[in-house]
Amino acid sequence: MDNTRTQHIFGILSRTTLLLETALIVFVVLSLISLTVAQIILRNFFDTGFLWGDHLVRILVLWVALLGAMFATRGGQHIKIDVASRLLPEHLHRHVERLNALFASLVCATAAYFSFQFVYMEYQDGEQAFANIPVWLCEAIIPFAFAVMAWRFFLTIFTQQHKARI
Amino acid sequence: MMAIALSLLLVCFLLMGAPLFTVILAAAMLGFYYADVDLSVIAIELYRIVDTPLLVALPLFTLAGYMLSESRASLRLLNLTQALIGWLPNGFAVVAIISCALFTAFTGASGVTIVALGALLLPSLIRAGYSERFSLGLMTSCGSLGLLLPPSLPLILYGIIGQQIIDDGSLTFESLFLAGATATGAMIIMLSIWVVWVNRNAPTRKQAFSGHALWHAVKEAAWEIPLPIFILAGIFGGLLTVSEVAAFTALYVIIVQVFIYREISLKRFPYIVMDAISMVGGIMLILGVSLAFTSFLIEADVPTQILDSINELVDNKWTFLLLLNLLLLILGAILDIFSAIVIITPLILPAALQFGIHPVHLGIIFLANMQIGYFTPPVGMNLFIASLRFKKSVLTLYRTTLPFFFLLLIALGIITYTPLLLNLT
Repeated sequence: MDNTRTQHIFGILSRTTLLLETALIVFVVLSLISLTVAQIILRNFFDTGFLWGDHLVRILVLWVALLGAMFATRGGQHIKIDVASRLLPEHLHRHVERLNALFASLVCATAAYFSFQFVYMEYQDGEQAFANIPVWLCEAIIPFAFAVMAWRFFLTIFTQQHKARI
Repeated sequence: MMAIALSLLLVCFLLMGAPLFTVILAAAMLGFYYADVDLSVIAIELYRIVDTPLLVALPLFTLAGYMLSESRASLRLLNLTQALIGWLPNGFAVVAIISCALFTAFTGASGVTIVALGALLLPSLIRAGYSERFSLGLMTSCGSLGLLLPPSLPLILYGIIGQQIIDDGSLTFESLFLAGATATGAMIIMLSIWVVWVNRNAPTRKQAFSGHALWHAVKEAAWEIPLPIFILAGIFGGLLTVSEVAAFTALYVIIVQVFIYREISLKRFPYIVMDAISMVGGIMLILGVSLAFTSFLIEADVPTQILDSINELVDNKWTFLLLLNLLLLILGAILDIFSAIVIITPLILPAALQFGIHPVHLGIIFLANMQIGYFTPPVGMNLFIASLRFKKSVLTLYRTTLPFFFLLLIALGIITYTPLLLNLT
């Protein structure tokens, strides 16, 4: 496959995932807000509420955290302590960046592997979190987010940080 | 031996700028590996985010703050304070201080105060007759003022982490918020007295009080004025929890900015959500992996060891507080505030309790130090942001912020060593 074609495919993939990610995050955040507000109104004015509402809110917070972190990996926005880049000469920066990306990718891949094992175990247990939603489904975001982050850090080894956008 | 080599390697990656969460995560995994704990424990620890009910307040207040900073809310806030107190002698400098504090409380001290308000305030201050040196110093050092004013994110984050560590009910959000507001009030009063006094001979423009201008400013900001009142009433009135107040605030701000002021288009809205969530997601992930790392530390008895070595060095509360202030000032200049709160709080809170320091008091001391750390030479973050924004050398900013630095150090001393806050806790 020639280079422009690869770039073309990467471009399409990048836009599609960006769109999906944005839609998912906006949806989860809006659900979080409306669910919490609905619970307050139901509780104070109608003396009722969803039994599972509180639980769902907390799981959505976990999702927001991990989806947000996943998205932050796209643009290399994670918090870091940057002492070395002020001390090291310019031409070494790119190499240090590569090394960091490799390290981050390995760490995330390890976390993805072991949390997948945990979620798989929960899947076999078949326990339910609330309202017929199995626990493993709520937890599935953990290995998923780590796998995506591992992939994105991996891409950063080869391309500039701001171009690792799939 | 192997373990030590690997730990050193992690420190190297930390200093070379690897993402902080990956370093903490790697440390936690290594720790569990050497303690013969199955590594799938990582997922269990991360899932503990679900058992932290107040956490929902973080993304929601962040979103509200991002929405406010993308709209013209800062301009309306400025006009309102200007109309209210701008007519006093040297009132405009006080206007700048109060606007910075309020704006930072909502947006978190991520430098956005300098970027958003600085662009408006710095030229206006100079036009009003204040010297450039004074104006630069004021804007740079007040960029982190308001860090302690509820509902600021660092304050909430400290409360969440503190409540994970101590559960005897002594750390409530009401008392934390009240103490934070009191400390900020004290700083604002001190700064105001000083800026009025130091400019007593400056050729600053006087402005007459205008009922018309005030009415106009109130009308302009009519939809935003209820917001702080609602937040205070919601939290201190005891009707709503912090997370419920956060949800209402986010919903209200979205409706007001998108549909009433129409300053943020529906098309722009998803971008702001993504900006806010990727920032706060990064922080919450650090929080999650730190929970894992902290439970490894507790398993390895590290907090007790730290406590023991502190006990060997320090024998009373005052020495402890002094060393704490020094340590935190340095950390505040190097470490990002959210990572500092997440990493340092679990380590020093047990020691502070042992010396009879109230957890609310500790939190306020902690954050006041961080606030000053933002513009502590040589590496305070706001010095660099202001340098970029105002196109001045960092060295100039060191000089201009110096008087403010000493003034706020005195305020820190009062907060730390006098009973100002003790009656509130």
